Amino acid sequence: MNRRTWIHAWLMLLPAFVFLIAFTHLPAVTTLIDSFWTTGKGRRAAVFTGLGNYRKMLEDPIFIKAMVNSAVYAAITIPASILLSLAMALLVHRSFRGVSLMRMAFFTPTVLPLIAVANIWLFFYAPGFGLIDQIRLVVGLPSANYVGQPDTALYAVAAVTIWKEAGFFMIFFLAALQTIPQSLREAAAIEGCGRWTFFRLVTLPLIMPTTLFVSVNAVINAFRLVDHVFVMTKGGPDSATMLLLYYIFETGFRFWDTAYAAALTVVLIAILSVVGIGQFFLADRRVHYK
Amino acid sequence: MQTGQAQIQIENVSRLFGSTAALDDVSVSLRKGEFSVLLGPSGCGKSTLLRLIAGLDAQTSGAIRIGGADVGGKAPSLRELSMVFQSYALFPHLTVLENIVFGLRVRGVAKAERMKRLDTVAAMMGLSQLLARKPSELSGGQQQRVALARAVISERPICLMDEPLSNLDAKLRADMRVELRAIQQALGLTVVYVTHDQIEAMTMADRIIVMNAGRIEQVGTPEEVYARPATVFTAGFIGTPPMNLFPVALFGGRHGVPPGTGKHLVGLRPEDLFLAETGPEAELRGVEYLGADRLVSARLGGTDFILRLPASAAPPPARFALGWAPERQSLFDAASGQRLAGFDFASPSPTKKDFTHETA
Repeated sequence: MNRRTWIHAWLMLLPAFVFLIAFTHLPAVTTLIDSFWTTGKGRRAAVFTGLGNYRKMLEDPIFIKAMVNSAVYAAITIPASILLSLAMALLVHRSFRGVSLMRMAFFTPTVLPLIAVANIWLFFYAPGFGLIDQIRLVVGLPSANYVGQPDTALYAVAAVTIWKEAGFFMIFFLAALQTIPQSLREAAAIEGCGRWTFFRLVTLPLIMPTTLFVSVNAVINAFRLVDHVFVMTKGGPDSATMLLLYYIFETGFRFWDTAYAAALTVVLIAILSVVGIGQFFLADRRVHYK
Repeated sequence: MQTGQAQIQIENVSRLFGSTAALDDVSVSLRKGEFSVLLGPSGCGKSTLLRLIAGLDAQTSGAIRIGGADVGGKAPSLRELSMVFQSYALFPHLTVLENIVFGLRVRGVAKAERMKRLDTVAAMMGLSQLLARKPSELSGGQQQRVALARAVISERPICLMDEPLSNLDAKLRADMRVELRAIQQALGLTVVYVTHDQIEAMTMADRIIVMNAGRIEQVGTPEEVYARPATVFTAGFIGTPPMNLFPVALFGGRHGVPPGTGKHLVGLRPEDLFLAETGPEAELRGVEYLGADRLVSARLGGTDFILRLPASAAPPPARFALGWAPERQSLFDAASGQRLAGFDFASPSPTKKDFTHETA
């Protein structure tokens, strides 16, 4: 290629490059650099502390709590939303009366903003008159405050995530199921292969690429989706629903300890990278790509 | 295995899709150890009939018996049959080996037995070197063999095949025809084979079931179907080019053709026509040279027809007298399209088939 074409090519790339660098790459690098400095104050400029911010984390009980909470939250929401979405996909991957209505119903939570979803669930959980409490009262159980109790709040928040995510993942599983040719099912039926055996020996391996894709997304979302925490609990009660990303937000934009927030962000990105890459390497051997 | 005994009986079977009948009151019996071919154009109901036999679909009315027992409502796996699909239906994530023994595995056949049978079948199909491959790493012909191996290893007496050769190229298809027939003969399988390709039907079948618009037009050996088509449809469907049909008025009164006014049709194969000294005068329209012979298009009294002449003979002049082999003529009722068997010559001399120049 001659010089002119090169210049042309770079000029064409420039607008996208400017935005990408300004809003993605530069902040990422600055975050990494900031995490090795203290937060600058009016009286005292930022000083280099090396791994100081990271050392601080190990002694920060709220950070430890946030890490534990995030781990529990991920351990619940990832498998639960994947299993639920697969079950829903299998349910609507057939033809019966009202199947499109059912698919739509399953998908609706995806369309709703998470803020709105959180408000709906706040009503479900509301002690005394909420949906769940009304059912509890009918069957004779005492009123419960799921969101307000430290021992149940995290699970209450996790339930909202599962409800919100399963419908979205279902679409991917449904698409995957529909690429499995009907003749495979018929060939298996002639061989005397039952439904469960077919699912285990054929369906499951064939949708593995989708399962991998969905699980990577589920992992990212488990750390990324915290909108409902803002609406429902604000990390409380007593940090019971303090998730890593919410803690970063609080540290950075409520307490304005931006350097510590930057260090926390680096930790979050490190976790996501390790898990994401690990998933690919682990699963790659077991995934059949067409 | 002796042949002759009815293995699969189809009794007054209909299959409606909504208000349209894919199969309309079909009855036929397929014999044990025979290669039966369901032949017909697209949409004639042949695949539907195969799926009913397999149990992948249920008939609207009528009964299907396999080995004498009514299989209505019986699951496909309990019908003691295997099936080869048009798309081969191989499991893409399993190796050739796993594909072949899939059925034995889900039926809980012991591993030693599985491997023993696999060795035999893989050797028979020439797959021994390919057992570790995935279907995507195989050619079309090899995939076809795997599908066939999967059917053979089941050791079930009936094998259903749904256009198994239609995805192969012409050369491979010709080889597979011979091979399929050899396997069927060697194992004494009762094969029900669906195709729209008459060459496949003619070369492999013991018995051809010609179907059209959800009905059976004719059941017979390839010779019978070719030489003595039971209906105008069969006459026009079998043979390339198909049988010529002349209004009886053109030939009336000669060679046992009843003098008529056009209520009957005289059917003659292109190779049963020749240039004669005397006869009805035909007008030459064109000549197609095929190497071994020439296909001559001509017109006789408003009816276009084709005759086959050896290429060694000189092409016919612009106008020529048409002669024909009367013992090979077929007479049809023009209104019903049915063969008028009363006019058949007593001893049918089977026409020599020659498919060498036909396109597959």
